[in-house]
Amino acid sequence: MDIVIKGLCKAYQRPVLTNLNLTLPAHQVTALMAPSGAGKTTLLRLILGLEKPDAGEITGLEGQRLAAAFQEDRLLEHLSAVDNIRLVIPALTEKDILPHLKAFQIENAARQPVRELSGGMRRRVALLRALLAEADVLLLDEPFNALDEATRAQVIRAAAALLRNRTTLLVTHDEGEAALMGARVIHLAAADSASPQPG
Amino acid sequence: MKKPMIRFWAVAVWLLVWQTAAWLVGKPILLVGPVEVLTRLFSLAQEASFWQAVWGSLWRIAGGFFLAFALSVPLALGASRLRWLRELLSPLMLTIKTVPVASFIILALIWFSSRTLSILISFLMVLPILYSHLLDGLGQVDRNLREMAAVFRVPRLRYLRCVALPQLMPAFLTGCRIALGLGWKAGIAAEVIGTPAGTIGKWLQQAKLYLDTPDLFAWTVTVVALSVCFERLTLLCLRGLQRLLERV
Repeated sequence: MDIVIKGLCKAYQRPVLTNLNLTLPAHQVTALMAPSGAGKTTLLRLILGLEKPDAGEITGLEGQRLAAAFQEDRLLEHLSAVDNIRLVIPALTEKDILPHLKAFQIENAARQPVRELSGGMRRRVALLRALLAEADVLLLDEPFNALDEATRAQVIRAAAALLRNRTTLLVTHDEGEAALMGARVIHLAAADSASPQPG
Repeated sequence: MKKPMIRFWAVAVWLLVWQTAAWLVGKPILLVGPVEVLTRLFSLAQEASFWQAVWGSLWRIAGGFFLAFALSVPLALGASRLRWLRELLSPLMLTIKTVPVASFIILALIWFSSRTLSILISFLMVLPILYSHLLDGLGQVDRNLREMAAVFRVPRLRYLRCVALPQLMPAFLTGCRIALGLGWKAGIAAEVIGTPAGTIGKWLQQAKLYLDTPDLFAWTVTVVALSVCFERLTLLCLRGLQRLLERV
């Protein structure tokens, strides 16, 4: 089912999203590109149900299970990479998770508390947690940030393989990332003229 | 700031000061030194009545603590989710915290038997401290992690074990430490006033009646030792329980 956003408005001290209309086609990857402060993260929070819109509506989420790679990693510092993933997907065993950690080049960090990992490694754990979750809709907020150039391409390819035709919204600043993820690109303008244009 | 450590040399200095003061005063009815206290304690420990009193006070005060512990957990969990419950409990906890312990002791002596007095007093001293520390700890769980758990639909019990518990535990352990110290002080004070048979408080009261300063010091040392051992053991068990529960 498509996720349809109609007339969405959200303001804090200033308007962040104004009359946003957007469709996220089912089973496709949509990459959202926008300048900083255009409300990308706010849009994700609204879709996740963590914020209520001031006006407008989001339809197509009924009965859908969501997963997200947040802008911050939001990992439990004292737990290992495997346990952070198992916290949200208890059905997976360490044996199930290890090949994915290997594909993301963090197999050596499997049993290490994530507080001991580098920013790039933590980012990959957070992304993998979202991708492995039993979700119908994935929201990925700049998931490849903090990755060095050498690992980025391989991680993107590994991530793309785990999307499994799920409806995905990818927030990114990099058209190359969007292309590697096979995404349809949408440009979101600043809040006061928020009318996305297909790229 | 790091927690100050108890150094052997510092303890030795204070024991020396105490012993010197006892020698200078020269009247055991006013002040006895540590050597005399230990001697008296050793001789008391040979008697069955000593161990009966130790057990009598221990089970009552520990009982009060564990009852308060058992009640504070569901109350704090409920209050963290239900605003009306938080508002309902707030004046009650504030009242228990601020009413002088002597008023509770006297009231409890009017209402109940002195046998159960120290259980009730220990319970009343411990409950608001554990409740407020637990509630504060639950309120301080990282919002980002709360949201993450909500998005991934982490079940409530798993959330409490793996997400909330590690974050609230430091505050809760501090609360336990404060509550344990206060529980022992107030519990023994209640026994001194209520003088239930077979308790340390009863023996302390007798020491006061007969101006038996060596006994007073010996029983006081016993209370301090019991309080410290009980605190260490309880905190050790709680940390062990935390490690067990946090497993994913």
